[in-house]
Amino acid sequence: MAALARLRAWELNPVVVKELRQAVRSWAVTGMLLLFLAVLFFTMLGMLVGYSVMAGGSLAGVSGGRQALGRDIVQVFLPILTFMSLLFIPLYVAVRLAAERSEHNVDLLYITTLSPARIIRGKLMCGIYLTVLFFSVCMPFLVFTNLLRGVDLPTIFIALSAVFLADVLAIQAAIFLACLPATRGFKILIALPVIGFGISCVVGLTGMSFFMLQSGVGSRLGSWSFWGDALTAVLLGGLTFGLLHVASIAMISPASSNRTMPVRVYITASWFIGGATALGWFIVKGWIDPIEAWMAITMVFVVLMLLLGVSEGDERSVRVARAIPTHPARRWIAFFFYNGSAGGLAWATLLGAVTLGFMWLLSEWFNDRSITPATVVMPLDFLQSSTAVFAYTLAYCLAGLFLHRRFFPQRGPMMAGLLAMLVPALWAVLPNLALFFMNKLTWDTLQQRQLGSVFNVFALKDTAHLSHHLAFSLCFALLMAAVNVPWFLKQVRAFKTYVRPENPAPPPLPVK
Amino acid sequence: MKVQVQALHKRFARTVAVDTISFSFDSGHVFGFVGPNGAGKTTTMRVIATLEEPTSGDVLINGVSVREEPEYARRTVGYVPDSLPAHADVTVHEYLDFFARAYGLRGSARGDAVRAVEEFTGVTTILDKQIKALSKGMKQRVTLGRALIPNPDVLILDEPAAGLDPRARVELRELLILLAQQKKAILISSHILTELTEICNGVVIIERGKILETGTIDDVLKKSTPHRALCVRVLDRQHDLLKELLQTPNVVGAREVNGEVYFELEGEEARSSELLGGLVAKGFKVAEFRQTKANLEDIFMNVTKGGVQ
Repeated sequence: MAALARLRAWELNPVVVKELRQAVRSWAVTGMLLLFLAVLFFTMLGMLVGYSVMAGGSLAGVSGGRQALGRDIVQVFLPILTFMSLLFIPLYVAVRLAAERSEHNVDLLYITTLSPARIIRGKLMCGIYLTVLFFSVCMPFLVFTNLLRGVDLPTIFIALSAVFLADVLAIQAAIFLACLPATRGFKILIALPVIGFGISCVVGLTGMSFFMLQSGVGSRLGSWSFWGDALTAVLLGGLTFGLLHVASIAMISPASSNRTMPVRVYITASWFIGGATALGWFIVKGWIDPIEAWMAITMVFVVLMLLLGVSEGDERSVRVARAIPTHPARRWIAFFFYNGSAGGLAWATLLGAVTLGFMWLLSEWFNDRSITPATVVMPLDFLQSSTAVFAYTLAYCLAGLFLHRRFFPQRGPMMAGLLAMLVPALWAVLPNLALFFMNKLTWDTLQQRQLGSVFNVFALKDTAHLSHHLAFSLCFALLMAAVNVPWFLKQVRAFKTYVRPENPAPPPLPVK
Repeated sequence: MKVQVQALHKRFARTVAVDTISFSFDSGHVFGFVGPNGAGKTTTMRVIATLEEPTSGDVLINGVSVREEPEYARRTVGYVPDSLPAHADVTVHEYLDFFARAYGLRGSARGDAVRAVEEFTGVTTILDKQIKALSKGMKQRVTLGRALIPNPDVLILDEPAAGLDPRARVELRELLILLAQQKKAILISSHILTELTEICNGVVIIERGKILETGTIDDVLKKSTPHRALCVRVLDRQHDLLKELLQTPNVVGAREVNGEVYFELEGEEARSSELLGGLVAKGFKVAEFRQTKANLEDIFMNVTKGGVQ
């Protein structure tokens, strides 16, 4: 009964209601829907008439005698549907959200009791409903193609599912871009390559659909090779979707909220799931590639998280400070996940160190050929360069942090992040600039050992120099860590539950 | 319902927007929040509405901290920002209905709340009009309506009269008086100070993030103009009157404006009676002798220097 009462009391997310009402009135949606319908209709009509003429009035025997008119029409429909859902709908959702954010209307949403998570979910759901709408428009045409020959239902279903899932991911990516705390121009600048990537996804999905339609997937549904690939793609897509989702929520959450925690928890959980899956592949199949991919992806995130962590600042809102646990063990765990530069750097460093430590151990283990198959080789260069990049990034971030706290304490915390990027940029540019003015800059000199420059790690002529970079970067990171120890200890001591000060109440204003 | 701003301090990088200010206001009263551009009014209001986190200090609403319990503040504070709604493809009714849903109102309660607000703010004739197509005055009414949807006990209005024509301003003023009668605590910032004088019980004058004056309108008027401001109109010899007043002890700032002489008189009320007697005795044909009352605009000009951060 309680469940029934809850069901009766259930209401649609307010943002979904608003967005759908807006969509119904929007000329963009109505126009695109009509255009889509017209394109589908005339495409089908054109193909039917064309094939009829070619076959002398009989549909039998067309399509090169393969009796596959249905498949041919689906092969034209799917790219149209993919284009609409992967480009138009995400673009529409993103433009709406970006416009609201630039007009400070999201501020207005904050003062209601709507949570940022519900706002993002509402925007996402609106995009999904629009996708369903466009799919529904396409559905009668697809059903008609099934009456013709050359296409089977499982293939259409799987191709449509792939397009739908890719669209959900694209909508979430668009929402993420719209939430970025940047100017409209900067967002457009970022959106352009993303749209380019979207177009390449349309091409990729179309190619995949063609392949499936040509070969048919019905016979492969019982095979592990099909489900292994499909589930891996779904897992990777799902993890990416989740990350974009929590990051979007974090970006529109008020500054006073503990917005880094969900992102860090999510990345930690994904890191663990990804690592376990990769290890599973290795144990079952003896494949090393998934483990290497896991490490590479982890390193990319660690580098990003180090840069974001150093830009966070030391101040914590009362709301966050109130939630710090009093129990020492819980407080230590919370330190890694709550807002704050110290916690952010410690968390990212720990994640990177554990990953690399695991990989080095695995590498040692690999040396014993009696344990692993002889064909499996862990490339040492890859491991060394990854460790050097991690150590360099950590060192740059700690250097930026030190410079900011020591020389520019009045500037905002973003300054530390900017300095962390400026240090490697100058380190890489200045020596080469000097060489250029001495007329000694050649491609060879660029590829020679330049200790301290992280970019040099990727451009070394002699990979034996990687060990020098590794040693230097670790020493650099340790040195920078040592100079930041007093700051770090101060942050650890300051990480405690908020106790409300007793402020004297101000005198009330007398009224007449 | 009591709102207490306690030692509120807000810094944006190097700029101190609000410099440790304290004041409080109560339900059933309208308080003016006055200051030049960049004085820190909007920042203070955004802190009360939980849109900004203060650097230090706090705001208590009925004793509950907005820093510690922002959700409580969102339920009790209605905020009217200085920007007008700009949602595309949304009608007035849909806009209000959306906010009612966002505040968690369900079923008939939502319908009743939206209807009541639509009637109170007088937007029933434009319910199907799109927000973007509305005039400024109507948009302001819709914004006020949006803030009133959850029936808040505290209303924070940031420049609600900006850009409104005289009729819309009068209508807004009447709405605010009605809201004060409904026992809401109202804090309103405005540059149209003569209007604030008419509707406000109290005033907070702020400049460069610091409070310059607080109190009831009368107290602040008295405090900022300690001398009695007087005006004399004579049937002839205006120039002689001006000369006479300039030579009279305790008379300050005598000046002639449109045939009338304005001046300030130091001391007790009896002195004005003595002065009038003296003028009549000296043969001046006094047609009018009255005390002029300073308004909020005069006080504002006296106490502020027009400084911004």
